[in-house]
This record gives sequence, structure tokens and C-alpha cells, in this order.
Amino acid sequence: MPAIELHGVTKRYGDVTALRDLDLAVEDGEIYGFLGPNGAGKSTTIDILLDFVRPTSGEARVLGMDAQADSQAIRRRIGVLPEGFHVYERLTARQHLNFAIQSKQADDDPESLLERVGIPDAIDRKAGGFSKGMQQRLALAIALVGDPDLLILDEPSTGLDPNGAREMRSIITEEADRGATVFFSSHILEQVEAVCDRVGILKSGELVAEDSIEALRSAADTSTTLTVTLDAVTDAAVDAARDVPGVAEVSVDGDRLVVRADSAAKTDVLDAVEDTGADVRDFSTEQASLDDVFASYTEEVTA
Amino acid sequence: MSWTAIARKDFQDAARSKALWALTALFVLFMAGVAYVFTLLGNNVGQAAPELESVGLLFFLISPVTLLIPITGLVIAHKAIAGEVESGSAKFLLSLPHTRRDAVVGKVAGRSAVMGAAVLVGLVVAAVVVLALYDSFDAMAYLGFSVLALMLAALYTAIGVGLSALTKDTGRATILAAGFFVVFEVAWGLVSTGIYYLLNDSLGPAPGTVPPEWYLLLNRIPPTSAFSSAVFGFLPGNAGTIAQLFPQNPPIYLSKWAAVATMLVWFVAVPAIGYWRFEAADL
Repeated sequence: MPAIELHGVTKRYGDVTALRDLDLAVEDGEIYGFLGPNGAGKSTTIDILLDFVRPTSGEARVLGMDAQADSQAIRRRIGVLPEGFHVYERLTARQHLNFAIQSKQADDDPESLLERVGIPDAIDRKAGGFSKGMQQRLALAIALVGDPDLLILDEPSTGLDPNGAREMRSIITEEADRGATVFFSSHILEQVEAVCDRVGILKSGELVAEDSIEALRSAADTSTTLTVTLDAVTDAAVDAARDVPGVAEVSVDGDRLVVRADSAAKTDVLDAVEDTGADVRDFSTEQASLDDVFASYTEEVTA
Repeated sequence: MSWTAIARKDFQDAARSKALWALTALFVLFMAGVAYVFTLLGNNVGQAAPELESVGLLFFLISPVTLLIPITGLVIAHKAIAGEVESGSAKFLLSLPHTRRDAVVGKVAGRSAVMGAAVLVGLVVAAVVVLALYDSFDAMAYLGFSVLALMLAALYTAIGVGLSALTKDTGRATILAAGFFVVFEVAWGLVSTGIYYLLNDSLGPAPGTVPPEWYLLLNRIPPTSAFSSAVFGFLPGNAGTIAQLFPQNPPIYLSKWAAVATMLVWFVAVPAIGYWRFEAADL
């Protein structure tokens, strides 16, 4: 049974469409990275899962239950790190955790939860005086209360330094090892790359790509830019390069040919160009990074 | 029973704020102060009955209490829901397994407890002043007045919470609270006069005549009017209008129990309307 299922979910705010006919399935036990630039609709999706916001049309199910009708039962079994939250300034970290523990009828120990997120000394301090990073750690501790079956983390690295972000990732991995499903959103690829089994990329309210990290990485591998410097660029050389199988695009930049192709086609391109009688003086290849793949999905294509 | 966790958290939160202590100090100063001031007034004015009676003090307390409790109740409650939604702490609250109804009920309970604690301390300190300085102390009357005052405190807190659930914007919540106070506590006389004028071409019943019953009822609708009617009805000494107009048996809907029922309706109705809007809202 999928931990999260969205079927044809659309959400409109007046004239603005935040989500457009979104289908999504997160399998039980996986770590799913929900990627997209700010404003793509990630938080709206999460708000629908939590019943903070009701979809205009479509259906959302969490742990097999209806996100709207069974929201309270769902929230008993999930842990949430909301985005744009605000702590209760006058309550201490311990009071925050006790409130969550009572609310979930759990029996966690506030001290060991704070130990886990790295701020055990702050337990009796008022959360109003916490830095953004400490508030984020407190929010993570609250999300961990009651060993939830599903963790929903909205931009969990917000406000964390690189060290804090790494600790966050190791907690995510620990939770997944315990058997929890983790769904977390981010606008930064490298945060999900290290831990996720699968990622979905959201853009303007639509899922534009969904695959395993390995598959995305191999998509990146196949996209190589080969720059060949010639003594003189001839039409024959351009045509020869264009005819090589695996070549997507050839452009001319002064005395250089810029060829976008599968990495396997590199030597074929060089051979083909040399066969036209051109003298190859230099060449370089540039591998697309995972970031470039992410960017190619999320940035507007300039025609 | 998940609202109890919210109520407890809300009370803890408020108990740590200086506002609760300021509020308690205000009620202590006010109640005890009035109790003391009344001894001075009683000595000068009350030639006919020079005895200082605690019941007299209670009637004297009605008008200042019906100003102070509504205002403080609305002030501490009117941002209860809107403030959490606006700041984002509602995201914590509602990502835990609480329904939105739990949130409204828990807030009403938590904030009413804060308000009630402040009013109660004030009443107890005033009782000490009365016991020390007054010739008589009618314990039952004092207790009855205290119960009604605590009910008024709870109901105005509930109204504040209910209004705050109607909007996600604290500025708008403030306007709603102020508007409620103006309509029901300041300008209600104009409303009942206006209706009377439309029906009878005069601005009100002539002095000495018995006003129509609907007119009497209309005047008892605002929360503090229901409170005063209940105080007059329950305390000894037939001091209220209704007792004078209907010395034997007032109509059931003008009885003291009807006044209590009106208070209960306010206590439930405004939070219910607030919940109804809050439940349907996108946060």
C-alpha cells in the first residue's frame, strides 16, 4: 500500500492554479525527495496531505486513509516538520515536546528526543529565544514524537548550517531504517541526492519528472557537451557531426563546434569531423551534473 | 478529549506572559478598590440605611464589571485563533492529531481559565475587604454574584475566540472584536430604540407605562444585559426592572433563568459560528 497517493489533485486559489492534475505515489518504506523551485506547489501539496488546504478537485490518501475525512487518524500516525512554522515563544522546548507527546498519546522522553536532534541543553529554555536552526531542530524533535509511520518534512534544512543539514540527513536515514516512510521537500537537489530512493520534480504545479536518483544520474551521464576546436569550421564538418547517432545538437562558436550528445558518441563525433579533412586542434568534454538535470527540468526553456 | 491538551498548553503559555499577571493585578485593584471606595460612599450617602451591606456593593459593582470584563475578555481572546494561523504556530498545533474543533474548544477553555483565574482572585480579595470592613456579608449573594461574573468572563472570552476563528488576519480580528463590543455593548440601545420607533412612531415607551414584552426581551439580549438581569433576578431585593413590572410572575422568557440561558447561548453560539468558518477555511 502506498504511504501517499494523489490522484488528479488540482488546487486553485482564485485565478492562480497552484497544482494541476497532480498524480503521485510514495511507496511504503521509501525515502521520497519532493523537489522543485520555490513556488512550484510543494507546500500546497503537503498542506493538502495535512488537510490544511482542501483540493479543488482530485483525491489525496495518506497511509490508505482519506486526507480530508480521516485527517485526525492520519495525523496520529505521522510526524510533520511544517514549513513557515512558528514556535510558541513563551513555552520551553520541554513544554513543546510534552504537548506533542500528550497530543499523540505517546510515551517519548523529551530529553532523549532533544539529545537526538542535538540541542539537549536547551530543554528548559523558552523557544522564543532559539535561533532559526535550533527552532528547526526542535520542530524535527516534535516530528519524531511517537515513532511515526510516515514523516512529512517540508524544507527540513531551512536555517541549518551544513553540519546541521548532515545531522538531519542521518536522522532521516535512521528513521527509514526503522521502517518509516519519509517524504521530504526541498528546492536544493544535493540535500535529497544523498538520502533519497526516489525523487519527483515539481514545476508550476505539475510533476515534470519522477525517477530514482540512479536513473536521473544516468540521464545526466548521457548528456555531455563536447567542444571541438578546428583549424576552420566547414559546413561539411558540421553536417558530419550532426549525422553521428546519439548527437542531439550541434552549434558553431567561432572556430569551435559545440556538440551535445550521449557520452558514448564522443569518439564517433571526433572521427567523423576528422574524416571531412578538418584538423582537430583541441577538444574538451563537459559532463552534465545532477544539478544541470534538475535545472533542465525546472528552468524555463529558452527557445 | 484532545482539546484538554490544547487548553493546558494555552494556559501554560498565558501563565508565562506578563499579561495574565497584569490582568490579575487589574482585577484585584479594581474589585478590592471598589469594595473599599463603597465603604466611603456608604458612610456619606446612605443616611437611610447606614449599615454597610455587601449586597449593596454587588449592585454597585454591576456597571463597572460589565465594562471591564467584556473589554479584557475580548482583548485576551480575540487573537487566539487568528494569531496562531497568522504566525504559523497553528501549523504545529494542527499537524498534531487535533481537529479544528479541538482547537476552538481548547482555546475557549484555556483562555477562559486565564480570565476566570484573574476574576476569581479579584473576587476573593474583595471578599476579604468586605469581611474586614462591612457590617454584613451575605455569603450566598456574594457567591451567586461571583458565579455569574465568572460566567460573564468565560462567555466574553468565548466570544473573543469565536470571532478570532472567523479570520486569518489579526488586524481583522481586532476590528471584529471592537465591532462586536460597539454593536452589543455601546449602541444596542439605538438598535432597540430604532425597532421601537419603526413599530410605534415613538422613541420608547412613555415613562410610567409598561413597555411591551418584546421590547424588554430585546434589551436583555446583549451579554452584559443578560448578566445584569441575572444578577438582579438572583440577588435579594427585587431591584431590577422586571421585578418591578412583574411583581408576581414574570413571563418565562423574562425570568432570571432566561437571562442565564441567554448567557449560555452567547457562550456557545459565537464559538460555533467561528468554528463553522474556521473548519471550511484553507490555512
